[in-house]
Amino acid sequence: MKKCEEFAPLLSAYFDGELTEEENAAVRAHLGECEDCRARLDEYAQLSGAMLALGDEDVPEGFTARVMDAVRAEKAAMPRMKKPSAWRRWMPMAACAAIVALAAAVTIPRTEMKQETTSAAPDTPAAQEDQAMFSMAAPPSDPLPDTDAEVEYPEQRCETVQSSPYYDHQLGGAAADRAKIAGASDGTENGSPEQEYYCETVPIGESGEEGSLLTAWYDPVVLELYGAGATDYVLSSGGVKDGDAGFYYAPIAALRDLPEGLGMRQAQVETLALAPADAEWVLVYPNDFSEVPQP
Amino acid sequence: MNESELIQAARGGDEAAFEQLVRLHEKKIYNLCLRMCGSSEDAAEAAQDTFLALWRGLEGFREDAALSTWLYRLASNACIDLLRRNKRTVDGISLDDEDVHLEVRDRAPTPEEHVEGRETQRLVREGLAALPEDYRRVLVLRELHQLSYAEICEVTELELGTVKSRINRARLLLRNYLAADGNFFEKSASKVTECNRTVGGERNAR
Repeated sequence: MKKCEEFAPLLSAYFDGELTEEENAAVRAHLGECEDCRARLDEYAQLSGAMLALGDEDVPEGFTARVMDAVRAEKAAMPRMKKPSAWRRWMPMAACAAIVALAAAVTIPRTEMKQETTSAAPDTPAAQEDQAMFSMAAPPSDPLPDTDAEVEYPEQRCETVQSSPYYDHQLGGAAADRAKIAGASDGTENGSPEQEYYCETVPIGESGEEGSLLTAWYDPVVLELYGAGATDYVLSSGGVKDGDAGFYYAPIAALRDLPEGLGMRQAQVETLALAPADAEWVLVYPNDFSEVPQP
Repeated sequence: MNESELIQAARGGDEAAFEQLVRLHEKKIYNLCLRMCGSSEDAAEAAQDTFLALWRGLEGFREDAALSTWLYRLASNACIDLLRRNKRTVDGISLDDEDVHLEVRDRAPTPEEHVEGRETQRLVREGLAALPEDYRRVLVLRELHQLSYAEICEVTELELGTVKSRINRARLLLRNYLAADGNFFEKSASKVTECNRTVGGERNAR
């Protein structure tokens, strides 16, 4: 029976046709003389047939419409903010936040912020040098009505830091170029030659808690956290489920000092290192079943 | 528009193109979620999470990978996430434990389930639900979505050896669960001959 013990782990892959020719031949020869293994293989076949017999079910009625509603809600909650009106609603709190943001800007090591000029339109020196990554301090607890359309953009009050390496990593190549061009053209379509920057915060948690979320360009940065137990770690560190799609708001501090077995790509680690001191939260996608990437 | 063109359009914010992508893949994704989560409510929620994740990540998607592979990954992650959130996991089973057994739930079949096939389906659904999520995921991808081991590696980002051993253990667990019923394999005995034709290491032969 020792032989059966040897062959038992191979039976499943044999059944799936996933063995090498050599292994196949060995298993086949063993099956010829072993009734137990033949019986086990029969059971696998029955099991397979029974699973397939479950069949496919129809998607619930209205599923597609609900997905599209959610997508539109998503767009509304995390807009690309290419239209000024979206920003204007945040204007009053932005004025307060600007003080914090400017203070943080002073602490950023500008000498490390070398960046090739890729934007097509920007006029400001900072914009020429940098892709934008913004951070802001606490927004108001209540959303403000979109009433004052005459408020000027406080783009100068936003803090710019070096572009997110992760962002480049995520988009890469042509897609990155496209995004840069799209970003640049936003400034000119409103008749302004200047690149317009928008700060943004996103409410965190269903309870309405809010805080400063790390964003890049017009989008929140999304970091992928790799390794078994990534989700649990994010939650145990005070992370908050975003409510959909497996994203979490994680405290940045917790990601700077990860326990063994969890990790991020090097580019993401560098992104975090560049995050302003007052950025408290970042969006994280925990990849519980992935190996930790090696630098 | 073909899928590649739809992806391009959706990336540019074209909601109609994205809706078409959803329609193309929703049945497959919903059924994966259904077998992973067990209930249609949870499956719909997980499938919706999947497509939202797709929408969010579309810009970063590189077309050197198949969209369906990525969707499978998003979907199985969304399911596991939802299951953990709802704390409906089977506790106490170590993934390294060679000799694992699932507890068979003590529930009498309803009269309707006695109708031929129903009882078998109930057992299989319960057996699947009782599997640890990581085992269920690989087995569902293999058996119900007919993915090769290499494709499952891509979806789960696991090593081939891990995929192989998890599928093997998942089958053993499910087999033990169904065998504990006492009727399953006898009842299906008539199918054995028929199934024999499909076995012999040739299922994936290409």
